[in-house]
Amino acid sequence: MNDMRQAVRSVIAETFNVSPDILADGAVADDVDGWDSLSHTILMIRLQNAFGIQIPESVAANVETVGELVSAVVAIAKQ
Amino acid sequence: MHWADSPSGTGGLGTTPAALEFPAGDSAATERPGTGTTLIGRLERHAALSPERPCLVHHQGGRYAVMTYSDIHALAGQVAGTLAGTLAGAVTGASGEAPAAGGSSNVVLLFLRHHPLQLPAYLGTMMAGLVPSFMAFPTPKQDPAHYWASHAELVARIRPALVITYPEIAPELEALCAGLPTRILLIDDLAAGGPPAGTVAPAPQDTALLQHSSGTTGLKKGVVLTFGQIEAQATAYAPTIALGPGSTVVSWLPYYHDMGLFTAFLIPLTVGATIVSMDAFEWVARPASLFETIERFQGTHCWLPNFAFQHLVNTVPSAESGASAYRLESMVRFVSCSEPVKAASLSAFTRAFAGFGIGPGHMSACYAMAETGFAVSQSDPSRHDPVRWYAAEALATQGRAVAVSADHPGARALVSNGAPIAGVEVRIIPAPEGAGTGGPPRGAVVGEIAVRGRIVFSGYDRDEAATAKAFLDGWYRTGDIGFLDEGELFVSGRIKDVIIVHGRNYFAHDIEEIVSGIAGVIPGRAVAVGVTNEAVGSEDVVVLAESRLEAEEEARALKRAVKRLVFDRLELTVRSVHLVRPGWLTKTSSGKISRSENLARHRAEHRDNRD
Repeated sequence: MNDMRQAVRSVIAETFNVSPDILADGAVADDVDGWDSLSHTILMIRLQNAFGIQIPESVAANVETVGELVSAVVAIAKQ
Repeated sequence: MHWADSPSGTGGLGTTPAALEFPAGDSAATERPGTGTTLIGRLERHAALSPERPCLVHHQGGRYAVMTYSDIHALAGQVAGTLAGTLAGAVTGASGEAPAAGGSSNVVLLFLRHHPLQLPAYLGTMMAGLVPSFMAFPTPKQDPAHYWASHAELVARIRPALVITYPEIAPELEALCAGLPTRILLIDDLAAGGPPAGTVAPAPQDTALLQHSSGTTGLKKGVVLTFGQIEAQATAYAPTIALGPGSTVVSWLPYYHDMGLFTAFLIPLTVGATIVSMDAFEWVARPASLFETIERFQGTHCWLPNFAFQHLVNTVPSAESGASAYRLESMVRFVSCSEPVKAASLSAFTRAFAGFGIGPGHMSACYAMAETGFAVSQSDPSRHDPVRWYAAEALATQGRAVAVSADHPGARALVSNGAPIAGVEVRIIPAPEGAGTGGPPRGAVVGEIAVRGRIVFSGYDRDEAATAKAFLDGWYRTGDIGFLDEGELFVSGRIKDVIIVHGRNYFAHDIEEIVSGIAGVIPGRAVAVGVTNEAVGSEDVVVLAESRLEAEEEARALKRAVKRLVFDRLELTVRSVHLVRPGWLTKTSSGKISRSENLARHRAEHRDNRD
């Protein structure tokens, strides 16, 4: 489980070219330079490709924090 | 209205539009003043001669509804009847005039999300003798309080006769218009019934619409355009991109933006083409939906800002990757417009999607602005490769465009925006300290682009000072820097402190004013700078702000606050916020804080920082 969470964090870190260290569970998009609506779409596509999942638009549009996003991806992957 | 599911199925709309007489070129110039055709006359004519031709395909939530020219004409007439009945003599002030004391203007503001009646509502407003203006609406992620507060001044200045909106934001608009003679109408009630009555036949010299240009909302300038200017724009521009009655425009562009308003509404409606209108938010979330829609409806034309070409490259797998393939052979033109056109973005697009039937012959560029309705010039991909190379040094320091080969050291690739369209003249005003210095003059003169002609607006709504400042001896000064080479227009920079992000214009000083007012930032000590982001194909906004806060948590909270407030007020995501110590920002000899110099200093001090 922790490996999976770490893997999701790595995809986010690579997408925004930042250190995974700044991606604490409570971090929000405004804490990460360059995280806007367009790059958010690119991130969703990368997560889907990396884990072979479909992220519903309702989830993609409503996650507020890095922790929520990581948990959502892990939950979808387990289904 | 009939709804169907999308995107399954193949083929076009099921009807082949019959050929319709369409003037090739400059017809309006030969018509006597006051007798020319107007947009409403065009609509009536299309509805009479080609009633079953699809006018609007409204695409939303994976479904679509087809409305014919006859449908749109009838709906617009019903809207006009509803509006006329609602107002019944309440309007006192024409656009450009001060309303009578206590009365309203004749402006109708449309705060609408993507909705099947948004275009009939706009047309119906015109048919009622009123002046429509699409307004940006609050997005779910914006703080409503900040959004509405930023509109109070604009609404109070305009004193609109009516506001047309949707139920979710009607209470906020009621509050905003309290004390004004403005009525609020819901979009779904506009065509609820009633015979089309109270319509007027506009004349070419009549004010047709109000289009708001960039600037924080309270200071936004309203560009006033007449029916004659719309007609001149459409009839001059359409032939340059082979747009006619058999064409199908596919677009997700919002209608409060001049590119969406003209290319996905007014121009195709003038020529009798079909408009396939998608929801911008759905496109951002699923970029491949654009290609699905082009394929489904056999799209022929698509206008996009530069970033959108790059976003498609970054998100839609190419045919070669083994993913879904799209058949886009129906396309005639992709047009890049509304932000600097990058040669690299256009070539990346054609490389990525060659397998879908897209080649360099489909790609073109346009130079446009709200003050001319839309296009000033348009490139023709059948003439030559639009990319040319110029010596960057001469462009930057000598005010000259000196053509060089692509492999020349310091060559800068620029994309041609083509020749000016009929109805507009382009003039280059040389910079006093630039042109001719640094050796014998050679190459085209580089300077501020100025335009005049019958497509150019005549002034800003209720703002004589801004109008006077915008014109020089009858020429509208665009604030962009460029040159003419062999009759084609190239844009190489800009004078105005505008940052163009994803096709939308933002004034640097607007952002700075917002940032300066945030607790923790030293008032007046912040700069906002536009930085090219090649990977995104657009500009990023970087903010430098002086602050006394040093604790990490406090600094992080302040950076969040800056990004949050700028987004709430302008719907703009700042890429990065850098806090610097008090007194760090330097001023020029004239006492101004130089944006680019301070950014360069910051970068030099933080070489590991990408911004």
